[in-house]
Amino acid sequence: MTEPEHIDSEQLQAYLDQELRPDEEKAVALHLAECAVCEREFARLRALFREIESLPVVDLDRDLSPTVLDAIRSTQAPSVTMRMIPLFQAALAAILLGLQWPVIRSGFLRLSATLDHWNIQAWLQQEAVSIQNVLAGIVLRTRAWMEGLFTGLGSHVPAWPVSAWWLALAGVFSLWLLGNGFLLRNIERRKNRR
Amino acid sequence: MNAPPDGELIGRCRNGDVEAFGELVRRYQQAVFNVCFRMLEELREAEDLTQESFLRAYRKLETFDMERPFGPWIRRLAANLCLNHLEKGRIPQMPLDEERDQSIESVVPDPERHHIREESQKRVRAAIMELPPKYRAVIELRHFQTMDYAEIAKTLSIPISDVKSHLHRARRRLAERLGND
Repeated sequence: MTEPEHIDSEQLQAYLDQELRPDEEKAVALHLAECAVCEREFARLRALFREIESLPVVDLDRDLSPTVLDAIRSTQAPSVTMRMIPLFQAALAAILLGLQWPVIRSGFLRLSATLDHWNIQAWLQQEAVSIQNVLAGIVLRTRAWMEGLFTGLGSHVPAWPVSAWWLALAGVFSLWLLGNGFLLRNIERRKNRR
Repeated sequence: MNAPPDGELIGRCRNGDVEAFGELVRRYQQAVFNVCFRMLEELREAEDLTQESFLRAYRKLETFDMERPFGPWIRRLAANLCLNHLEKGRIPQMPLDEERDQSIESVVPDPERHHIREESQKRVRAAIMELPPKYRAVIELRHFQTMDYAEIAKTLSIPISDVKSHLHRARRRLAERLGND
């Protein structure tokens, strides 16, 4: 009489894990009922499973929730630098508006007068033609303001061509972009940490 | 007053109520700590990884499926975190049995924990700690988190065939170490 082929260990483990198909499970159960060798192996494996799962629960000796919540809050609160960036931007914008106030005011007055007459097209044409004059006016007024300021401080104010003014505007715009770039990067980092 | 269900707490967390997450931490810290302790064996490291697991969970809370229970999700996350931690090479040095026992006893008050010192349990812990991290992970997920092969495969991002072979080899090693072979 030939000895029946034994079930391999992986198959027996899958049987214990209840991971076999119903037909496979039935075949293994039938085999175990007949084969003492496999039955011994099965009992050994079952004992091993029990031994592994006998590990007791270890008590945690302190409450971790305050530490976890502190860590969450610290990642949520923006840093001092991050909080300063919008303030810096706002201050810069206020200075810029202050410098330009006479021009802005006259622009508003003229816009208002134009709108009063509902002659927007004519106003736009006029503005298109005179935009260069407006810009020149900005430079002159700013220079006058700066001269007054620096004369008071005893410094020499260099002559500002129109291109320098545009460069200054570009600089402010770059600063603004840079500041928002920092803010966005910070927000993105927080998201990534999640 | 009835304690709010997990789903309600998660909803509050999503609306920015950090304190609600604190309640979830208190509910599940013991279970998560035990996952980490079984994977790492070192108490302080297990505590650190427990905290980190909760931080990760908080950051991933938007992706949590409210139809599923929170407990298995956070324990699965912790197991994965421990596995990554071990595979990055920060495997705690295996202390001698005596040293390990002392490290547990130094933190754990005796009256409540004397059963930890049971010889067979020490041997099981020591045997699990001798397994490579990926084998440790499948043992944790199968025997302690009672996941099926498909869930383990999904959790560890490995094929089911690898789950089977990892489990088979891990158990064979444990049997050898524990003298069950």
